[in-house]
Amino acid sequence: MIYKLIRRVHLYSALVLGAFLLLYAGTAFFIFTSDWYPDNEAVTVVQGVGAFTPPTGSEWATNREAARAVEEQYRVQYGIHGRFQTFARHNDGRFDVVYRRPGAETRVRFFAGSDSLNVITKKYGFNRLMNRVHNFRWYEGGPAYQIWALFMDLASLAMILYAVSGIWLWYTLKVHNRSLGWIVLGSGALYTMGSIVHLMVAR
Amino acid sequence: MPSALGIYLWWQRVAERRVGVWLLACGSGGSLVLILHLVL
Repeated sequence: MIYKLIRRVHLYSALVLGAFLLLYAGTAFFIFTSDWYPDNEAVTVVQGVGAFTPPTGSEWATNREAARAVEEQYRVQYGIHGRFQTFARHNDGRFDVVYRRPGAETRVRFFAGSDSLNVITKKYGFNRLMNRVHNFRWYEGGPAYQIWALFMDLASLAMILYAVSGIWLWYTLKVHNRSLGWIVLGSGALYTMGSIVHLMVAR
Repeated sequence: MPSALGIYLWWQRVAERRVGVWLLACGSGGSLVLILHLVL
C-alpha cells in the first residue's frame, strides 16, 4: 500500500516536473562546458523623451509604492518585456531603471539635467542565457514569473526527494541479492562525502 | 540519465500509461510554453 503510494507520487510528479528537471540538468551542463561555445551579446539603443529626477536612497526605501509606479510607467510606455529588477544610480548623474528576463536585460537610462532618455536592451549570448535560465528565480514579477519560480523550487526539492524515495523503492523491492546496489550506493555516497570534506579542509 | 531510464521503465507498464501520458504532455507542454514566453 505505502509502496504503491510512494511509487505513484514519485512517478507522476516526475512526469509533470520532467521538463524542468531536464532544463535544470541541461543548463548546468552548458554552464560547465561554457568555453565550448561562442558568447556574443547584441545591444540595441532606442532614444526617447522623459525627464526623471530620482529621489534619494532613503526616499526609495520608505516609498516603495512610488518606485513601483515609476517602473510600471516606463515598462508600459516602452513595451518592455521583463520584470523590474532594480534602480541603479551612477556617479555622473545617470540613473537606470533595470528590467530582466532570462536571456535579456533592459535599462531605461535617464541623464541629469536632460529630458531625453535611452532604452538600452542587451540580449545575452548562449552562455549567459543558459546561466540566467538556470539561476532565474524569486517570487517577483507577473504570474508567469511566479509559476516559473514555483516550478524551479519544486524541481529542486524533487531532486532531493526522488533520491530518497528512489532508494526506498529499491530497498523495499523483493530481490534476492542487493549486493550490487549497496556497492554502487556506498561508493557514490563515499565519493560525494569525501569530495565535500576534502574541499572544505583542503588548503 | 535517470530521467530517461525512469520514463522507459514507466512506459513498460501499460496500465499506467494513459494518465502518465497526459501528465507528461501537460507538464512538458506547459513548461515549454512558459520558458519560451519568458525567454523570447
